[in-house]
Amino acid sequence: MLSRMAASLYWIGRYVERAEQTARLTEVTFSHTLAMGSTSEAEARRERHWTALLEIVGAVSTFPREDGPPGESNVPAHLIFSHDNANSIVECIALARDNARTMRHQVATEMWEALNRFHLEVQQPARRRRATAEAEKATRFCRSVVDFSQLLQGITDSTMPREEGWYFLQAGKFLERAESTARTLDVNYRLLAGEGTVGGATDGLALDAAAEDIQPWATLLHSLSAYESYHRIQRRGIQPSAVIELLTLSPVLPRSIRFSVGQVEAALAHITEQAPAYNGSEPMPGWTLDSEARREVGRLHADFAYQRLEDLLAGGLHRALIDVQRRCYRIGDRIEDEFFAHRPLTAQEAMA
Amino acid sequence: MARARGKGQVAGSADGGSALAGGLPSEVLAEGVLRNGYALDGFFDEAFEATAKGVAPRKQYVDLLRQIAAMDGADLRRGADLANRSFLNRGVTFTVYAEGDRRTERILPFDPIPRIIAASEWAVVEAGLRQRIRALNQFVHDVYHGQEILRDGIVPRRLVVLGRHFRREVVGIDVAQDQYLHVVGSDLIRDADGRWLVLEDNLRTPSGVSYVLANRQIMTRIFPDWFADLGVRPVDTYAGRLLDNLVGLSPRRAVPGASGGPAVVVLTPGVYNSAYFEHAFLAQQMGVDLVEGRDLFVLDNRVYMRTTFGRRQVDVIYRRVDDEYLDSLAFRPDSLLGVAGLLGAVRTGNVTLANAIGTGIADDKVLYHYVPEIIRYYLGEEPILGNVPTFLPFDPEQLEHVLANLDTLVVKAANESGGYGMLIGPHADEKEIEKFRRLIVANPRNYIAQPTIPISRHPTFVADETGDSGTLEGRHVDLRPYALSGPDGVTVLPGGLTRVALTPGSLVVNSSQGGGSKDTWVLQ
Repeated sequence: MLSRMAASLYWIGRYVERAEQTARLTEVTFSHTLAMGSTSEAEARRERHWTALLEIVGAVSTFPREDGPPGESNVPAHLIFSHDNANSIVECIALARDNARTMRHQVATEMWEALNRFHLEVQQPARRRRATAEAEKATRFCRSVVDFSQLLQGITDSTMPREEGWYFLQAGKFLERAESTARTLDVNYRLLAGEGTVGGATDGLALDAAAEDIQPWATLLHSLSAYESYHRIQRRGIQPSAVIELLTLSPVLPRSIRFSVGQVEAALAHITEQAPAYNGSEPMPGWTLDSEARREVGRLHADFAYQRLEDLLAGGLHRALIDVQRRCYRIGDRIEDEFFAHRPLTAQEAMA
Repeated sequence: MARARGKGQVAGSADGGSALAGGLPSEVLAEGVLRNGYALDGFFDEAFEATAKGVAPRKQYVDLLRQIAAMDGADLRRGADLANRSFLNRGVTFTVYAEGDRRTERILPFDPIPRIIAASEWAVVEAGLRQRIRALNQFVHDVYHGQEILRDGIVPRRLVVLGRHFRREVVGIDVAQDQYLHVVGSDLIRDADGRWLVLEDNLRTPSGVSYVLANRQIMTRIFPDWFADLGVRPVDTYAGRLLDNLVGLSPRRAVPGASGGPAVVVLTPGVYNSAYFEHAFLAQQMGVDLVEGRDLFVLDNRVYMRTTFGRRQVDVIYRRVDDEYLDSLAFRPDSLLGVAGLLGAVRTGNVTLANAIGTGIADDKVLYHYVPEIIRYYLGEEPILGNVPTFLPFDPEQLEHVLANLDTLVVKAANESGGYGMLIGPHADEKEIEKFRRLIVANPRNYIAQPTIPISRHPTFVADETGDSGTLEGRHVDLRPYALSGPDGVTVLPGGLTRVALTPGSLVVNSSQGGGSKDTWVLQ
C-alpha cells in the first residue's frame, strides 16, 4: 500500500494507544493518591506520585512549573487538555483524527466517524472546563477515553480487512503499548523502591520480603486492567515479584511486554511475508525485502519468550526496562525507514 | 434588476387563501411553514408562479409542497439540524482560510427544501451541456494543435496565447482519445424569464459533486416520504461512471493473470485544501488510492507511487491540482504539490491526466464571450444554452461603456473563482467601484463585465428568531451540473449542485461567501 497510508495507520494505532494509556494512568493515580490522607508526609508522597506520572507519560519538560508542585489540581489538566503538551489526550486524539482524515477513503466510515465525533467532543471548551473543574469529572473523562479507545478497537476489529493496513495499525498500537508498559513498570518500581518497599532487591524473594505495602502493586495492576487476570493467572495474593513477572513475561496478558512485542513481530511478519503478494508493487531497483525492523523485534520477543524472572531481576529490573524502551525506539525508527518514505503529520507539522 | 425589485403578491394574507386553489388546498398551504404566504418579489421563482389570483406552485412541485405545508417549522428545523450535524460528524466539510492564516473546517449549510427540475426542462439543459462540452473539447484540441479557429479569426489569437491558462508546454502533445475535458462543472442560472443561461464554464478541476451525493444520501434518510412516487432520478452512478472513464484512458491495458491492472489515482493538494473532503470521498467511492505529489515520482518518463515495498506504476491520474503546480520542472518551480517530471510522462504517453493540462484556456472568463461562436464553428449548430451578455473591456469601445456603467454591472476578474475578485455594482459602495475602475483601466484583458441578472429564486427554509419554527422564503439559486466525457460521449449527472444565497437579497451563492446548498431532483 501507499507508504503514507501505512504510516498514517501506524500512527493512528500509536496515538490512540497513547491517549488510552495516559487516561488509565491519570485515573488510577487519582484514586491512589486520594486515599493517602492529608498529613504532610502524605502530601510529599502524593507529589511524588504525580511527578512519577508526568515522567511516565513524558510530560516533565512541558509541565508548567509556575503552576506549583505537581498534584491533582494541575497534572490532570496538563495531561488531558493542554495544547502545550504534544502528548496530552486531546492532542493525541486530534493527531489520530488528522491522520485518519488524510486516509479516510481507506478506513471504514464507522471508524472515521467514531474518531471524528470523539475529537469534536473533546475539543468543546465547555467540556474541558467541566472536566477540569473537579476530580470526579476528570476521572469520568479518563474513563470515557478508555471507553472510546475500546470502541474504536471494536469497530476496527469488525470492519477492517486483514491486509497490510490492519497490520500496520496493530504494529503501531502494540509497539506503543510495549514501550508504555515498560515505562510504567519502571517508574513505579523506582518510586516504590524510593519509598522503601522494594529496596535494592535483585531476586524475587528479597523483593517480596522487602515489600511493606502491597497496595501500590495492586494499583499498578488496576491501571493496566490486569488485577483480576493476575489472580487467575498467578493464583496467589499480590506479591511484587509475581506482578512484575505477569507484566513483563506473560505470554497471555494483553498488556504485558512479551505479549505486546509478540504482536508487533506477528504484524511485521505478515507485512514482510504475505503483503508483497497482493500489494501489486515491485521493489525499487537495488532494494530487498529484508527487514531490519522485523529482525530487531524478533530478537526482543525471543529475549522475553525465553527469559525467566530471575534473569530479568539479576541484572537489575530498571536496566532491563530501560533496555526494552531503547529497543522499542529503535524498532520504531527502523519501521519508519523501511516502510514509510514519508512521515505522517507530526505534532509540530499539524500545528504549523 | 436586483436593486429595483417590486413587491409581489402575497398569498396567505387576508384574501390570499383562495389564490392557491388551482394547486393546493388553500387551508393546508395557509398553515405551517407557508402560513405567511410566499412572496415572489418580482423574481422568477423555481417553485411558484404568479397567476391571475396570486401565487401558485408549479406543476412539478405540487406534491412536494403539499407534504411540506403539512409539516410545521419545527420538523423542518430538526431535519436541517440533523443534516448539518451529520455532515459535521462525517467530516463533509470544506476548509476556509480566515484572518491570520487560521484554518477552520466548515460544513456547507444544507437547506432541506429540494429543487425539482421537470424532465422536459432537464432535456434542454442536458442537450445544451453536451453540445457545449463537445465544442469546447474540440476547441482545446485545436488550440494545442492546428489553431484553425485562430487562423480563421473566430477567436482573437492574442486572447488565447496571452491567456493566463494557455500552456505552451503542451502544444503538439496528443492526449488519449483526444479527450481534454473529462470532468466539467459549468454554472447555470435562470434569468427573469426562467431561461437557462451558462454563467461560466469550469473546465479545470470543478468541485462540489461530493455534496450532490452527500445531499441526496441525507435527504433520503431525513425525509424519505418526500420522494414517494415522484420518480427522482438517482445520482449515485457518478463514481462508477467516472472510474470506467478513467480506467479506459489507461495507456497500459490489463494483462490477464497479472495482479493490479491499470492503476488509477486521485491526486490531491493535501488535507488542507478546501476541497479535500471531496478528493477523499471520490477516491473512496471509486476504490482507488488518494495520493499527494510527494507520494509519486517519475523515473524514465513513467510515474510511480511509493509503496511499503517500493513502487507501483501509475497509469491514470484524476488530478485536483492546478496546471501550474503539477510539475515543478515544467511550471512553477516552487510547487511542492506536484511531481517533478510529470509533463515528460504525459508527453511520452505513459500516463493520462484528467482533466488534461491546458484546459483552463477555455474557461477563461473573456473567452466565455466567444463560446457561442465556438459552437457554431466546430459543430455548425446553434447554441442550445445561451450566454449572459458580456462586455469585454479590452475592446476600447466596450471599455468606455463598462466604465460609465459600473454601478449597474457585475465585474469579474477573468481568472478568479469562488466569488473572489468580483464587483457587484448595484450592491457596491463608491469606494469599491473606484477601486475596480482603476483595476480595469490598468489591465482591461483581465476583466469582464455583465449586466446584473436577477437570477431565479427558490423557496428556502428560514428559521424564526426562537429557533423553534420558521417559514419558507425566496432565496437566489444557481445550478452546477456535472458532466463526464468518455469514449461513449458526454453524460450529465441528472441534477447537480444547487447553491443558494442564504443571505436575504444576496446574489452570491459561493460557499466561501455565505452560500448553502440544496438537493436537486431531476424527474423521470
